[in-house]
Amino acid sequence: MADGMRLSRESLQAALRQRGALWAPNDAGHWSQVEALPELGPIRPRRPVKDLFTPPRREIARWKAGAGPAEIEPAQPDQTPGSVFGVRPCDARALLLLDRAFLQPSCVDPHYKARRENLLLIGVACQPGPNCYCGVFGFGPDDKDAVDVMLTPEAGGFVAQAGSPRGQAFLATVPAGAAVPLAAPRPGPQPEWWTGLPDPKALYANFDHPMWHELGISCMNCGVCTQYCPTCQCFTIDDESFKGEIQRLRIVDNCQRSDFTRMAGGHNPRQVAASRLRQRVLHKFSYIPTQNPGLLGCTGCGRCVDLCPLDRHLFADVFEIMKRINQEAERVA
Amino acid sequence: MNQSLRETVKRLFTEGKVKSVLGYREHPLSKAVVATLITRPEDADTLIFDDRCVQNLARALTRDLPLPVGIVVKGCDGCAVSMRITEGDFAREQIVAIAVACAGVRADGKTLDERCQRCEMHVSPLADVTVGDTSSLPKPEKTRAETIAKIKAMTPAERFAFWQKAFEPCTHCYACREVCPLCNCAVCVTDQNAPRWIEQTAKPSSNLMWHMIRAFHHAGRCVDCGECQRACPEGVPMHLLDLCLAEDVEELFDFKTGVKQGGKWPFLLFNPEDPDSWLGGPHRG
Ligand code: SF4
Ligand code: SF4
Ligand code: SF4
Ligand code: SF4
Ligand code: SF4
Repeated sequence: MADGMRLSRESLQAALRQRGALWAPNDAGHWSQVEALPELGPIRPRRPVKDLFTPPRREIARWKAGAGPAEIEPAQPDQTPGSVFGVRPCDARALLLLDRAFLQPSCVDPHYKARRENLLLIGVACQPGPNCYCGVFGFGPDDKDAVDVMLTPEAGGFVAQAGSPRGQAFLATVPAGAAVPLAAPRPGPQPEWWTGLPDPKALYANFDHPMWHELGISCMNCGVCTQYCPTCQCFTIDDESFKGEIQRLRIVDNCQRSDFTRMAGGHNPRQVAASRLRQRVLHKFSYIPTQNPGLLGCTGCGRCVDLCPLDRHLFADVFEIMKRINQEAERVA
Repeated sequence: MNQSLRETVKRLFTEGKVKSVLGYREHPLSKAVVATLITRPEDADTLIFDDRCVQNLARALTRDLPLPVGIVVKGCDGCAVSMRITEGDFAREQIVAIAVACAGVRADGKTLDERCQRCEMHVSPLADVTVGDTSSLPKPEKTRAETIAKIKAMTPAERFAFWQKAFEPCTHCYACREVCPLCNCAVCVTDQNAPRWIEQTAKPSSNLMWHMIRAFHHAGRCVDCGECQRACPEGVPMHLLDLCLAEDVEELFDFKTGVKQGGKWPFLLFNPEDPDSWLGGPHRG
């Protein structure tokens, strides 16, 4: 078993400050810049860490309103070096998926890229909560695969292990503490009735199944689930003006909104609640795993379950859908 | 309760009074209470009603449902359905209100919801059938006036500062709108971009604009079901503003939302006698 390194809070904080700016979740569960390492809650904060990489509102360019050709000033990517403290494995794994969207060689988002390159991800192992389901996706609360450093809290400090070469290099800058043997990675929680991930192809084959409409009645497409989801990545472009200056913005959008697919001519291929709910399930459990083998459209953070005002439970729904599909397939066979 | 609810619903189906019923079921896996639509009498056995039935199902009524549609309603929910009929969303005969005696619901599984503590209704005024014992329902523990007293006591400047701060965490996710049974505009003002009435991102000006318009559109219409408040992922106390307006509407127009079908609905009728003190008119309120 590999060894971890014992770190005091103070020496970690000093090394992180040495490296640059520091971000962490605040009391409201939003990511903000901090001076000192805060106390963290047991699990992921209310907002996913993606807010630092692809924020809900980002300026792309600005120009002065008026006659004549506009002088367009593109926004510059933020190159501030620093670290993000308190990243949970579910949020970090979600960034791997966002990388696919925003770092595609054919179309790199320079803002996202700058953030990814400059910010060190400092993970902290969790005490799973009632709606934590990372185990469904085969990792657990101290998973280090998507962070640079994973910390397991202990009295007065942490036991640190590197998750990446960059994290390894950072740990070399911290005054070395005692080496401690690492415990085996903890398995992540999953619902007791869960039996495994659905087959992406079988889900898609049931695109026209009436069950989507049956489920549709339990969802109001409020979009909270998608807006707080660490893997959701959709955005729209909008302009805002203030005192004669116009800002072009990239702002968060989500597939649950009724106008998400509304065309200029008024036609809307996803007219009803059921079709939007189906999009959310199929995107996460069918399209993404089909197109990106090995990547997941959901990381089991459970925020959507926590926050749904209508008490819908994504995993319970997916499980019921698959059960029905399988039963019907057996009946036919 | 569950037994008589299920029998009532089966009877409505067999007597041909409904083609579908909107109600509550306990999800077999998550154990959470979710909305369900049944179209066959035998499925009535999945229906439940207890203090976990927090949602207002009136938000799920659409004309695409097999009509007439039965709907399980608490007191506040029934007022919302009534309001939607009055506003012309449905003809009276398209809806069968299944009123359940509601002693209050508990979203957190423990304490009585805030709106239930001030509920004077408990049974829907719109009721085609009534289920449960309506004789021993609780009296309100507090009034709406008490809930908003703190705000009413503020000076205009204090009030402005209070609301600005209260709206600060709003992210314009519009969940409060989506769950509201009475946010029934074909295209919400905030989704329109020609002109763009409300900017889409959170900042003091757009927060104020969104919440002001939202609240005004609910004046004399909000039934205090509390869904908007429960839906907000950021805990913005936007429903307090609805309550303030409800209090004003009741005082100025002598009107309680949803209690009666028809009548002088302030938001729907122009009346030359309407108070207009804010325009400097003769009716100083
Ligand atoms: S889902 Fe897993 S990784 Fe995410 S907060 Fe919960 S325990 Fe941690
Ligand atoms: S949070 Fe719940 S009601 Fe809202 S869109 Fe998601 S599943 Fe539907
Ligand atoms: S779908 Fe739900 S559980 Fe999965 S990552 Fe998104 S918010 Fe978390
Ligand atoms: S404004 Fe809020 S309390 Fe009023 S009817 Fe709508 S959801 Fe219910
Ligand atoms: S008040 Fe809450 S629910 Fe409504 S738009 Fe703002 S954040 Fe969303």
